[in-house]
Amino acid sequence: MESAIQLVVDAVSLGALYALLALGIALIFGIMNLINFAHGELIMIGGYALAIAAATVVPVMLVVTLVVVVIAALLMDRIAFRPVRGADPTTLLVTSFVLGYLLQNVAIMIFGSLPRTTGAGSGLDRPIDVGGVLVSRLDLTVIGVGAALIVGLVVLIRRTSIGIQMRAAAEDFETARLLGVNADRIIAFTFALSGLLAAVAAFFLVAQGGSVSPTFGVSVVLIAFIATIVGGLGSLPGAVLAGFGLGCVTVAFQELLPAGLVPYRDAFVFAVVLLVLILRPEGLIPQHARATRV
Amino acid sequence: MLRRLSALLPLVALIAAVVVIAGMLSRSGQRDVTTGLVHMCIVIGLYSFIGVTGVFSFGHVAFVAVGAYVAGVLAIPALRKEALYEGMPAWLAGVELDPVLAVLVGGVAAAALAGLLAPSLSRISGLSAALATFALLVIVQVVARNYEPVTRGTKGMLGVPAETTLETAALWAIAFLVVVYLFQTSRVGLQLRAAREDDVASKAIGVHVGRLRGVALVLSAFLVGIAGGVYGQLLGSFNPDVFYLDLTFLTLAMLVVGGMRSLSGAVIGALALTFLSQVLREIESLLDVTGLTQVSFAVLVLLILVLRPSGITGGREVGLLRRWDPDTFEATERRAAPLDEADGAAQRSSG
Repeated sequence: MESAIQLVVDAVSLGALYALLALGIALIFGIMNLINFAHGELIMIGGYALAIAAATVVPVMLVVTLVVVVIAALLMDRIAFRPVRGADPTTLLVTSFVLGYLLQNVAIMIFGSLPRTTGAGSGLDRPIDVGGVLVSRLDLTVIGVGAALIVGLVVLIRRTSIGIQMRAAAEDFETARLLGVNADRIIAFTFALSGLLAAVAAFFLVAQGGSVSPTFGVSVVLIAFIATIVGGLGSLPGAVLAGFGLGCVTVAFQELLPAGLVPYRDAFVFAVVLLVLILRPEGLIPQHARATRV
Repeated sequence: MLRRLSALLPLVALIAAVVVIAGMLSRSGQRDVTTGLVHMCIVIGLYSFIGVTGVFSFGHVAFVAVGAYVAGVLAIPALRKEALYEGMPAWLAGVELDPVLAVLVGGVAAAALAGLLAPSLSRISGLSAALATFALLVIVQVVARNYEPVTRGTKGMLGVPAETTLETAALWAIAFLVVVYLFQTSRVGLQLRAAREDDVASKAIGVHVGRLRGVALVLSAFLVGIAGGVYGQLLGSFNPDVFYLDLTFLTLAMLVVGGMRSLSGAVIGALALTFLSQVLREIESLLDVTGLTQVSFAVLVLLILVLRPSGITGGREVGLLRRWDPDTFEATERRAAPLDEADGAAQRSSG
């Protein structure tokens, strides 16, 4: 029973983290058809900001990280993505991973290629006793903050003017612009939001792993990419659902596979991904606006 | 057919010129150019799927890996296998094929894997297809890392005969060019390119888009599988990491920088990026600043993409290929281009 609860907490917290990562990618994809592989490098930048600012008090560290990552996201949009806006999706994709590669190598030049350990967020690794079950404080924080951010995002997108503009732009960018939606502003705002999500994800990842390296963001951004596509090409609820699903499937395989097959865990996870895509090529929650109308 | 193939002369001449120039370089320079030519083989193989069908793939490196491992295992001399590979199944340990034959078998193995997946993958298009093939890449990667009796896992495969030379790599590249050119100007190739331009319209005139995409997938897996075998026989020893994200991104960048909608683009992209990284490496060794190569490489590639979003060739065939080949869609492409450009310009100016 105890281990079952711990397992569920593990799965939900991993799922919440994946959902945050996927939202960062899905937001931008919805609006400009760009799978931003450099999102991982935003997370990496956040990690280094945390490691450097960890010397100060916690609130300063968090604010500094947030500001640095949001600014980096806005610069990314302005310098790299605006010139290729509207190009073929493949070009956008390659642009984003070349940008990611560039940032990784800049990080190697500045910080060296070895991981840098940091104590940022280490206060969260003590377990907490909930009704006789020990669960990790970090897991609970991830779940809490993740849920709060998702609710906040829903409110923002449903209720505010800028949220409605974002949805309009995601539905049909050209028509939205004809109706007076300012393209640059909406895209910049979306990048800023995505930067915010990246900063939060960076904090959790650093608190979890205790170190940051130039290739810190590569593997996590792949997970986000997968959740975005499996969720349904830019569908935000889909991204959240797929993020949680991916987290649960990963934890389940980790626990349920016979010991000899555990090293093959990722192969099984990706076999599930492949299967879902074959059964539902448009993703879990298809975006009807994207379907070709004949 | 010969007349049709004459359209390839400029590209073949380009490759020949590269071989002649590389012959004057140092040993390590020659090796780098050879690596570049092997990359070109992979990019041409990628083009035969991505370029011809317009469906994106992130996972072709999985087929490269399958080709490299299968060709490697089959070509390693039996005695060496006994010494280096503990626990390899006996039927496999006894096999020793001629390197070229091993490479071809590697290609067939990759094609067989693609054939297995083709019926399901042909249902999927766009980024979903890119992800589905990526899932395949991860699966192949995980198996290569953990199936130690045959692959030696992360310790890496050793003792693969180093058969690939500058000339053989160039010959493979030229052979690939011929095969892919014949494919893209064949009935199937034309139907696929029609479907690339307008999926619905081509279905309406009776093109079996899904089935034909499966054909293209199998062909391109065969080609990149061969390229993988050739690559393995250039490296001699390699671990699974060689066939993962870095190679995926590099080859895709080559294709997109060259212009993913033309065969010339595949060739030119591979050459351009190989040349670029070579020159930058020379400069780095002169200036003695480490890390400069990667950073300036990325900046220059970004610059190319920003200045020419549809690649260096802009999706057109080069020189003679363009003028002599009535089969290309050049005419429609030219008509379509101003529209696209106007569209892009409008978006940019409002931006």
